[in-house]
Amino acid sequence: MAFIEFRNVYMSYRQDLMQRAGYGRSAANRRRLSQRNAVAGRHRFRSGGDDGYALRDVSFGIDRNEFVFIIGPSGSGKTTLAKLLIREAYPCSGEVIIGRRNIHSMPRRYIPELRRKVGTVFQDFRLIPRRTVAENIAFALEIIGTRRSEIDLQVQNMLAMVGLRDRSDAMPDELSGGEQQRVVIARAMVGSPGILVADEPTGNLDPENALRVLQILSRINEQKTTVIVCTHDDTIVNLMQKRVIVIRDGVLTSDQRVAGYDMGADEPYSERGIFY
Amino acid sequence: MRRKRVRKSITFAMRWRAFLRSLRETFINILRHPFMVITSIVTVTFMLVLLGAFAVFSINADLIVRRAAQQPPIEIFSEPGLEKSRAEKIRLALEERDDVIDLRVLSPEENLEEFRRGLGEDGAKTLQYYNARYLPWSFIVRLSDPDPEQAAALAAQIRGVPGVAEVVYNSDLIAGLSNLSKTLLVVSAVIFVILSGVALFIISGTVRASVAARGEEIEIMKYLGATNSYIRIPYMLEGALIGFTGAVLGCTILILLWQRIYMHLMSGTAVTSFLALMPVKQMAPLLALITLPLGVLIGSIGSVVSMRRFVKV
Ligand SMILES: Nc1ncnc2c1ncn2[C@@H]1O[C@H](COP(=O)(O)OP(=O)(O)O)[C@@H](O)[C@H]1O
Ligand SMILES: [Mg+2]
Repeated sequence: MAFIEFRNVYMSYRQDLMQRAGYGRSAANRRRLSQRNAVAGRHRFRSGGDDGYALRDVSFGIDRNEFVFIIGPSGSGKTTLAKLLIREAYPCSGEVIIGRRNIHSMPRRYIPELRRKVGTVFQDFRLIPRRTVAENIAFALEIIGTRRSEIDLQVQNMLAMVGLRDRSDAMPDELSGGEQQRVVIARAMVGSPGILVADEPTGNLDPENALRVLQILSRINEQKTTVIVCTHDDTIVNLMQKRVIVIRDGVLTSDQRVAGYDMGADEPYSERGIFY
Repeated sequence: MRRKRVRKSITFAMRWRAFLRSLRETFINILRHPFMVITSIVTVTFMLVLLGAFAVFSINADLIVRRAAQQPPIEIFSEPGLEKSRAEKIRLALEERDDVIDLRVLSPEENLEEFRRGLGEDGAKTLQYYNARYLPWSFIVRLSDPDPEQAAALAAQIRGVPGVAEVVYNSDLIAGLSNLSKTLLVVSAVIFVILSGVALFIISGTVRASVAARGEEIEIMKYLGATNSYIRIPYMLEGALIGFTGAVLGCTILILLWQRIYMHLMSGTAVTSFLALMPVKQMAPLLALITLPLGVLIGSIGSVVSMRRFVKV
């Protein structure tokens, strides 16, 4: 069994929303849910492909300490995949397994533990505006009760790793996009998670900064962390010569363990010119 | 950089440090909207003063009822000149009852003596030749509870004992006082429920504002793997602290007020009088015991109410 496994995962934002609102937990709620579906469901919570699924029958496995790209055009379900990994989203069928554990069926009280084990970098950064760079990184350790001296040490380590030592007292809005991206990576890694998931880490960056971020990610991977990078940017993929999983409209279309991803190999993909 | 297993690394020390950090957060939260916090504290203070006033009233009424119920004891008179052996049977019947806490038996001679003393020197002279033979035995009984039904039951039983001529007790007074005490209890309970509801509402509003002001930060905390309890503690403490501060203020006001009222009302009354009120020294700890836990409880519940909906992983 692989370290991380997706098994026939289907995910629909509409059903996820309903579930969170408490629908579907009891017979009465299920009835209410189906009535709502009939009246307004599709219409109100429409998402993903034609049948409302953001992910459809997605299965793959990732080994410990692997470096994997998940690529696909915008709207294909990459972010959804990342959210599933920290239980920010729930599959409506199928399983997401990390370290032999189905993370969506385990009790809620294990969610914090999961999120400490899976460091994530999302496109919206999620930095706290009124805290400095160093404070933002320290925050991840503060909330789990790490000793102050340990926090200071780790924060310095992380700042050094992402090359932001001299910016430690800056506020997030004083940083460039590339710098913010690196702060977020530092915060995700400060608790030494076993897994790092980066969603569009080079999204809005110029090539120089993008390269820098990739170097940081690959160094993290060398230090025994499983790294998953979601991106629509095929140039960086070609640069790295790593395993590539392609996903389109919520469906996994190719999984190449061979080094180097050739766009031509995924014909319909490049034909439609969806990479931008 | 070596990977550590997360489960092992969550130690008690970490939990403790996390707790101390959330304590600091509590004060930061409070300083962020001082006006709302003060309003909540004032509300709690006001509510507890009102509630405490009723409590003071009830406590004093109860005190007087209890004293009054024992003040007019039940008196049982035998037929005049009853033989000692038959009087003994009446005494035994009374002693058998569990609710009799005090029994005094006066023989006809003792009654005559008492009678004489009551009349003073001149009267005593006129009773010179009066014979105890024409006087009854009397039994003075105190009951454990100032309960009129109990008194009536006792009266009914003792009337049936041969040799008993009359049972005298002031049922109306006992019943009236007892009813007053019960009414006060009900009114206090109603007031308590209403005021608690109001205080709960205000506190939960304040805490909700606190939570809302940091909604984004709470989301980030959850995303980074903070536990629910870590996120909730600052808001719980904020509510509890508001409740506690309000209670301390309310309790202080009540004690000061009671001091003045007590001085005023008791200026012409002896401490031993049956109308005597509860002195401040006894009242103060009682008030603290009522208001402080209540304030903290209402504060905590207020924040739980507003958090259940907002803070979920
Ligand atoms: N919060 C949401 N509510 C409803 N639909 C969503 C939401 N987020 C994403 N979707 C839909 O799910 C599909 C996959 O989105 P996403 O995972 O963000 O794609 P990607 O990250 O590859 O661009 C898209 O069709 C998108 O419109
Ligand atoms: Mg995305």
